[in-house]
Amino acid sequence: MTTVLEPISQPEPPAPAVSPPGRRAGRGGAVALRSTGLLALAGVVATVWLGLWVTPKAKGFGDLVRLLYIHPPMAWVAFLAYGVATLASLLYLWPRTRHPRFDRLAGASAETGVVFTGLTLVTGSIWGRPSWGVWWTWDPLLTTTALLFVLYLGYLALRRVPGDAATVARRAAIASLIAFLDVPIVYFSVSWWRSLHQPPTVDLTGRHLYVHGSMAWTLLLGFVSFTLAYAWLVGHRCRLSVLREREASEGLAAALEERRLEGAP
Amino acid sequence: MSAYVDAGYSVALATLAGYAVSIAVRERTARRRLPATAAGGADRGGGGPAGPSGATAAASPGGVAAPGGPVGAEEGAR
Repeated sequence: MTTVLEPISQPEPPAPAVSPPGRRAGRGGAVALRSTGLLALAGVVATVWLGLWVTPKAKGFGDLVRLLYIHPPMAWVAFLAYGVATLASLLYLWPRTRHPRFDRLAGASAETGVVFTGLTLVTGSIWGRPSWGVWWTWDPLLTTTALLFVLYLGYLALRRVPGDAATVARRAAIASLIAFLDVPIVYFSVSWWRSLHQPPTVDLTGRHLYVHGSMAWTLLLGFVSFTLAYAWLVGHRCRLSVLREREASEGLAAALEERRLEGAP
Repeated sequence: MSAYVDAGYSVALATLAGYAVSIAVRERTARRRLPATAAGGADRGGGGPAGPSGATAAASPGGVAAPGGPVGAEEGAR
């Protein structure tokens, strides 16, 4: 790794007339990430504005319905994050596609998913207090969601257990697959068991939307905005992982070099 | 506006903003710890495909690490 830092003794190759494709693609990725961030920010601001000041109150819910524009989108992003983490874990476990970037993506996506799951639980609890009279109840949906939160916290903890990088990545990938089993249980829990929680606002199986008009558009905007925010967060989290891995490997290389110099006459 | 709604939006937005800022700060700190060339490579390379090993990265034009190069080197160490 120190070769990156050492001066090149060999004559340098002539500078290319155009940027290398990899570097150009990397710069394009950074621009795309920045654009995603700006779009996400604009979308979230618009969602908040529409949700709090433009959309009407709902019969039976009053102002509480405004939580609808952030709570289901956050639950959706949590599911999406765990889906991406599972897919990346599968790609890592599959020998032909095994690559550290899939491990990084799985870790970044799961971490972001944990944040969104936590927010889903908190905003749901804030919804539940005035609606059901309690902050928390051991309802099937709430319980399985809390279990999901704990499972992925365990996954993140497992990623921090010291060990060989490949071993850590492999056991984390397996843990991710196991934890994901709870996602369909969470989604279908309101259908499978008697629940205080209302059915999903967006029914994917029945292709039905339980809101209409400006409320539906605001909800849709919420879904898009928080999905973009997720993409931005995961992109930056992956970049952070790359930098940390590089820092660790360069630290190791420096230590080895120091040891080599100590042994030299 | 209901206090519950205010609380829900405040908690959600503050948490997301806090998480985003923490990632940005950690990323900046990590980049500062690395030499400019390597950090620049990480910035551009991101989580993209790992390039050739470190030796090739050193030979890339201008001494700048190829995007993802050193990561690929680490993978080789695995």
